[in-house]
Amino acid sequence: MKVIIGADKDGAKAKDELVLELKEEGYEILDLSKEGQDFVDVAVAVAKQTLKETNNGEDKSETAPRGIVIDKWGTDAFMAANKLKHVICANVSDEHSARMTRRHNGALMITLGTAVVGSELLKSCAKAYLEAPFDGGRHMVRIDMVNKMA
Amino acid sequence: MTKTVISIGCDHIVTDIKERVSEHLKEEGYEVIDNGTYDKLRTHYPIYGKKTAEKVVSGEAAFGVVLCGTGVGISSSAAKVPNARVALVRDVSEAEYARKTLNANVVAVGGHITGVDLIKAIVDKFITTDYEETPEHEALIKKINALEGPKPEQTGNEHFFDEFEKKWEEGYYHD
Repeated sequence: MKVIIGADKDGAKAKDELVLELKEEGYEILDLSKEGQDFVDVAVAVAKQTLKETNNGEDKSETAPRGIVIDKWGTDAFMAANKLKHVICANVSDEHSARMTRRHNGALMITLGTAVVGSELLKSCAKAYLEAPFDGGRHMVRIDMVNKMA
Repeated sequence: MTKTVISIGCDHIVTDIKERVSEHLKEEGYEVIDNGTYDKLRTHYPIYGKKTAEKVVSGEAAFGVVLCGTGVGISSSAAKVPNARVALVRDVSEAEYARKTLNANVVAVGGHITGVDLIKAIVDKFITTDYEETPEHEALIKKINALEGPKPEQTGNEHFFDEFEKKWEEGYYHD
């Protein structure tokens, strides 16, 4: 599975650690982080690339690419990413939310804040999200509704 | 003195939690607009996320509070309301940051993730924290607002989701 990842300066170190571990586990990584980006830039870059590689989020298969953004707070990148059409983004700081948001919301991407979660919890949340399948079924009606919104 | 108005909404998973938060806000002297859902009958979070956030951006309410199981579904729906700035959080610090820096106007929590007392503390902090207006903060907000797409026929349209509810009733969506 391809993981599209990005971090601002506050998330850079945690992102590098996560990338290392995900590569070891066999994930393909596309790191979009660039110097001088703020959390809005990173959120938008990861969201747009993940939309592009999933046919606007339509591909929710087990191998579909997913996005991860790491900054200081998470909730700010979450706020920005969700402004984009077809983006369902989750700010998570626990493994259960990370797993359930893929299963029920088919979340295109997650945000993680380094001021909020420690390095081990951050990696554990990322993996819980990446390993979860999308349940589909009744959940799809809600996703269709969100996707109609601009 | 007129009471500060809080707009609140949830899906069927956490109606009981929303009612406890709503009671708490009323006890503290706020006026609450409860946008539903009002029972545990299976329904769809975008309906309530949209309604709750629209009451905030229209000026009917000062702040919004949205809850679903993890908070993700209802918050991503609320976020797609023009001029809504939604913070999904699990602790007081994130809520405070989102108010101070980004002038967030809707706070979201996972009713099955965060305990009810912490939810109350998060909401209390969110609605009592002032936005700190600086050129840097203003620039960030402007940048976030600029990401919004055009919203034809979306705002205030109570029939916006009808096509999906019809398909749902016809059994199109099933597990």
